Amino acid sequence: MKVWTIASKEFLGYFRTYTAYVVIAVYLLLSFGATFYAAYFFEYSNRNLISFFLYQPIILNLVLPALTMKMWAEEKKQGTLEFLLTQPIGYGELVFGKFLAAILFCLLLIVLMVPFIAYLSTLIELDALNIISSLIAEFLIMMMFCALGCLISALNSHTILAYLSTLFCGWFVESVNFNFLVKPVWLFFPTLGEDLKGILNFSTHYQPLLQGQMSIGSIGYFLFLSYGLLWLNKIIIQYNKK
Amino acid sequence: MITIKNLTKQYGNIKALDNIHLSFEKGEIVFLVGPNGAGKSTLMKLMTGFIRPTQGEVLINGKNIQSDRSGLSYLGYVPENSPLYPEMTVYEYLKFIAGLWKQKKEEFIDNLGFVLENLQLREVLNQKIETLSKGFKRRVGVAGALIHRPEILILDEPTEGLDPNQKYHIHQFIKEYGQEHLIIVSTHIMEEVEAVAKRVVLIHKGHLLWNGSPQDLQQVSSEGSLDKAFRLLTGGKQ
Repeated sequence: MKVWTIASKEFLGYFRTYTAYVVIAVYLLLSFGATFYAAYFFEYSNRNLISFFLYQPIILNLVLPALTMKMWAEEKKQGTLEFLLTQPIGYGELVFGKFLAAILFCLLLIVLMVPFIAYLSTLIELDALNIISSLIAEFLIMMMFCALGCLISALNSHTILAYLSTLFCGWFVESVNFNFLVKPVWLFFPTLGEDLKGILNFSTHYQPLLQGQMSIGSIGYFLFLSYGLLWLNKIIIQYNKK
Repeated sequence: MITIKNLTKQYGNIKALDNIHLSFEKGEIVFLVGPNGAGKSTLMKLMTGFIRPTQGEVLINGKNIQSDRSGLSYLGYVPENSPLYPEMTVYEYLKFIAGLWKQKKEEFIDNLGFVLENLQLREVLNQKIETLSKGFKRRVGVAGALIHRPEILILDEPTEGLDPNQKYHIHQFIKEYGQEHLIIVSTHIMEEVEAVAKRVVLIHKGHLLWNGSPQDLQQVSSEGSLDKAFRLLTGGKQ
């Protein structure tokens, strides 16, 4: 109930401040631009809409921080955080309520793509299961980026700084090869090291989902990361008291 | 209702509050006074659990506000400058807060009527907060703290920047609501204290200098003036 109160306030806030319209417009523009120009949509068979999903992590990393940058930073700037934290609502409820608002908005972005996919299905034969797998992958990375954005907003008092920091951290998670973290294990236990290779890497989990290879490991990677980031967010809000 | 024990707040080497002991009961209208930077707002933030004390504790109806957030359910608090969400209308704002207090529709309508009537906000109910005058914004802040009709109302400089008419209305409201509830108000305007307070707590440089009735405080000055008493006490003499 309280979670829903926070979520609806935040969700409607996107529309009250016109953030929603800008985010939707930029997301659609970048998505279609990337699909048709950068990913050569007409040159591939695209039964799994790979041209569309290929650039989604980069586009979402650009767009979603605009939703999350204000979450906590604006509350601190306006002074409303003091009011909010003296209301009878748990820290976890507050964090989850804000995250839920961002996730609901992400669902709206996915819904906006449905007419495009439906239209394509009349032109080419689509691999429905593969597309569902890709949409789940997209939703999972949306969760991860939103959780990351919320956390970074809690660490900042300036919204622009929160946006840029989220952008950088998102890029870091997406692009960096984290194999160096499991390298010590590989030195002592080569077999185990070989199994762990790539386990921390974003692409290791995102790419199979795009190809329709859903696995508990890949889904768990994104869920675990999102949960961990939200937990950190809660700790920061709770212990941010001077 | 509120018991403050051995409360100390330190920022680095600066002691914002030093070993404060106080208790407040129902039906009191307490004015926290002191020069700017005396520690009034710090004391309010500690009473509402927004910041942690370096030492000591604040109990609200026996519950330690730092370890048991259910103590917050007795409180209505308006921080300094009445922070609000400018993009919301007054109605949306009050409904949002009522949602945090899990109020049912009938209860919300009843409480909404109460705050609109007492704070004269009916005419701006559907107006965006960002378009309101300072006076209305202050009153919306108070309305937000009052929407659940708390037993304890804590107001940090609620009349700052208001015109005399608006101040009068706030004073009248405090007097009325304070008959059956505990109200704690911070200010550095002594005319307000004279007009409304039942009890004065004077803080200076983090120390408690006075805790008693405004009439007794007046007697500190040979001319029987609160202003003079304030200057006398905060000017170095204790």
